[in-house]
Amino acid sequence: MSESVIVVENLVKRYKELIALDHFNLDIKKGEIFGLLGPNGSGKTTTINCILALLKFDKGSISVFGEEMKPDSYELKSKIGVVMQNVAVFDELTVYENIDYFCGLYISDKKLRKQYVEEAIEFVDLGEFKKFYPKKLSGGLLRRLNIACGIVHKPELIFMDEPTVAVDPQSRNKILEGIVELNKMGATIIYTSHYMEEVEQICTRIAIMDKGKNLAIGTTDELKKMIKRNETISIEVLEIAENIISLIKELPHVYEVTYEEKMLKVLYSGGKHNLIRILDLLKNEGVSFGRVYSERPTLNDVFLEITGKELRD
Amino acid sequence: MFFHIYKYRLKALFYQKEEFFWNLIFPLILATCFFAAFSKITESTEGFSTIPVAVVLEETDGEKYFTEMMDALSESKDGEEAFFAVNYVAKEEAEALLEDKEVAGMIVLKEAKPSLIILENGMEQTMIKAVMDKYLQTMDVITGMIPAHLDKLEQVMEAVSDEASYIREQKLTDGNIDNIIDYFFALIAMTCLMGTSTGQVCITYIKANLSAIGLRKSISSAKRMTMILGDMAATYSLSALSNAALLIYLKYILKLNMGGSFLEIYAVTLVGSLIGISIGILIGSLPGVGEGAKMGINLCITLFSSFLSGLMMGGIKYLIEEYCPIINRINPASLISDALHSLNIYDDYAKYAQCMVIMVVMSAVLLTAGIVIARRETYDNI
Repeated sequence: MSESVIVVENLVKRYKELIALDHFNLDIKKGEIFGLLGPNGSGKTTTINCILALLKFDKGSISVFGEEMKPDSYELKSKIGVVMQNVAVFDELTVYENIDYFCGLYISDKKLRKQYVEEAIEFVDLGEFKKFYPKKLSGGLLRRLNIACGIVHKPELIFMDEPTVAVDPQSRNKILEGIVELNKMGATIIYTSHYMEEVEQICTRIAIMDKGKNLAIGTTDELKKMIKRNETISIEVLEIAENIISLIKELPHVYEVTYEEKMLKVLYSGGKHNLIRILDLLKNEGVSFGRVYSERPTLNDVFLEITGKELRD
Repeated sequence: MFFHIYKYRLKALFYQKEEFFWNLIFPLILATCFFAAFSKITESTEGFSTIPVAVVLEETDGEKYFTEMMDALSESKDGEEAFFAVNYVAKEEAEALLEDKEVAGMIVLKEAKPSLIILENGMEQTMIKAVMDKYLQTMDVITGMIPAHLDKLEQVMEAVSDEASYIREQKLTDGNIDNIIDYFFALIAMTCLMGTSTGQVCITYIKANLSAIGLRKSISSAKRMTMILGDMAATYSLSALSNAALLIYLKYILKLNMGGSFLEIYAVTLVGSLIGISIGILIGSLPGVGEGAKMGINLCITLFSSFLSGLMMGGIKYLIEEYCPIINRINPASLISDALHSLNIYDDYAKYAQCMVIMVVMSAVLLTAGIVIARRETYDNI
């Protein structure tokens, strides 16, 4: 079992009457890309801010690298990098100067700093924009600059709070590749995002949060196994009688059947030959059908079933 | 790390157009406006130039004393301009000169008595009239008393010529005792106190709940105190530069006589800026007060203390001195203008030193309080 980088136990944070974090627990291991998933207001950013000792909390304990995190834990802070949701750079400094400025808050040695800055620029592929001022950069390039400023000092633990918001697909792919690369280089990453596919693509473990609670935690597969839905089969059918729908409902592992807009949708909780069985039944009952799809549950399905709502609600 | 923060903050400040305008350009504009407005007042009230007069001697009897007096007043002494420029002309010519406004007045001497003819009222005409009245008064004394007291002629002449003014001008200083300079002192004070807003920005950039950059800096391994001091030093450098620019402009371009030497005045502005920035840092550090409210507080402090020091109303500082002097002892703008005023008025440095010490102590207290509040702050909400 690898060592814990962050341990959060029974964390309670209130904003007056509102409970932002309700006995929240988390254990993040070294080398993970840990995804924090939750709708707006679920407590993701509050969790990060509490871990970073920016926010006071009412109850519970937090340890980072085995130590209590305080506002003046400078040694601990030197191991942490943060890429925030809002771009935090100086408009009056160039790309190079911005990265150098934030690197200088961690690294005093000029030579080392220069090397780190160059590496960070190369990492986010901003080499040709070194002398550009942020206002001249596109949204995607600005996000990459924001990332460079957060990771330039080569932190062991990186918080990434929705780093791909409002980013074009090309830049998004670059960012995601970069995150995986950082992880391969040894950094533990805590990643929050609205985009399920991103989380599913890069995170090794995911926690689903809602209303300040940790509803589920595990790998993508583990989370998918937690829900009832195992397979969804969708079939284009021009017409189908009610009695045939009743027959479908009696098939093994079927727990829900819907027919809307000429699309028959059958949800399965398990089983192995579901597709063959349902197609046989339709043939035998003389029902003609068109295209057929079989889908495994997505993280969105997991989220929907666990929280009862879409992530982007 | 301090110099790293200082260097980049300074560069950022120079590229911030608003900061640059309010700190460097705005005081120069205001100084120019003040200068333009006040120089007109000065010209109309104090600008003196030789008064041209036409003198018509209609008879020769008794003209001797009069012409001697007029000649004496036409001479320039000790580099000062002559009081009168006298044209002895015939009546017709004198009337023509008066009509053409070539002379301010026309004096006709008849029966040893001068009479003044003018076409308009004004300061020059009043001054000619005053001289004529004085002449007549003195002549009356001489002609009335001398025949009766010939034995005491010497004493009478002495009494007349020795008509002393009981008010003697005693110069305390070579400085400019013109009240208008106080407005420029108050302007300098206001410029120094504009540091409150830049001081507040120093804190905005290190507080996680006030800016994204503040959040990023809060989670860095740099000590908050180092960051505050680095930012503050850069802000202070900009203030020092704008103070120098303003003083150079006032002293060497507008050629205002401000009393003390450039360095003495500059030292006041440096301490003044320190107190301004320190106020901004303390206000910026106040927890639970919104950014807009803080800006409002800073603006109120700058304008209200400038008002109390006489920026908008000249006599207010003296009223406060009479009824509530403690305000003048702690009002930063008053302290700055008092220090400048003392350089201009007093020969010794007691008042100057007192103002400077109070400002340094106040700056130290405000700055320490601000840093202590901001240093280890965690937030209820971000």
